[in-house]
Amino acid sequence: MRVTTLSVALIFFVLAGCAGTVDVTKTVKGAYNPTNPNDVEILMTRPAKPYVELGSVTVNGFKPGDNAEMHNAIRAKSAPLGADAVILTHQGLINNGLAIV
Amino acid sequence: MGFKDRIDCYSGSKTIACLSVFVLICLFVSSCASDIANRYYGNTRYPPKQPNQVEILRECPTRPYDVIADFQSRGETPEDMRRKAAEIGADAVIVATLGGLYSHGEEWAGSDSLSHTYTRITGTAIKYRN
Repeated sequence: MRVTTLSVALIFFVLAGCAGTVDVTKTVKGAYNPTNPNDVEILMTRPAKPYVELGSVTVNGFKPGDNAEMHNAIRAKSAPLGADAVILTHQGLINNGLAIV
Repeated sequence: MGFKDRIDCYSGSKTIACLSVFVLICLFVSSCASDIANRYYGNTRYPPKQPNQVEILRECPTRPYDVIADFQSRGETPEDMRRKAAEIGADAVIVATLGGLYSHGEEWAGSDSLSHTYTRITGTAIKYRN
């Protein structure tokens, strides 16, 4: 199974609106077919099996307690890039533009 | 109205005019393409084509092909990707719209009511192998 990894910077806004924002930057050469968002894995560690890094993802606009919903947002927005998995690398709080990590 | 009042009035109108121009410039700039990062692979150069000769694909084609370039930017459309691909003589461009808004009301990963929004668009220009 091909395992694909995205570096993720997760940023929680203290005050979230009605929608969060996901920003995806592609770094890989070429294109991959979109995957099923339901199958995109959220990982906290790098997988042992070989993988190709497709790009990076930044998320904001989610309340600190809404982790699972934010993970679904990451799944939904990483699937069009062809991701099988996303590795969470950073997360923290932003209040008035000041990062509290 | 005294001279000072006229000057103040003129100064106020000028300030409003300047602010209006500034806002218009901001709106214009924000609607333009930004963060443009393109990559061209290989040394072979192909003659340009008409944009309508270039296919826009959402998935990789099944027939063999070579990737000749990658485009990436904010604020552009699939048609912009096609135009860029035509300029370098590509046969097709594989387009993906990435990121965007995600509603807090969503409960299923496979459901994204705001999938039409995106923060970035990518295009992979390809040439089919003969």
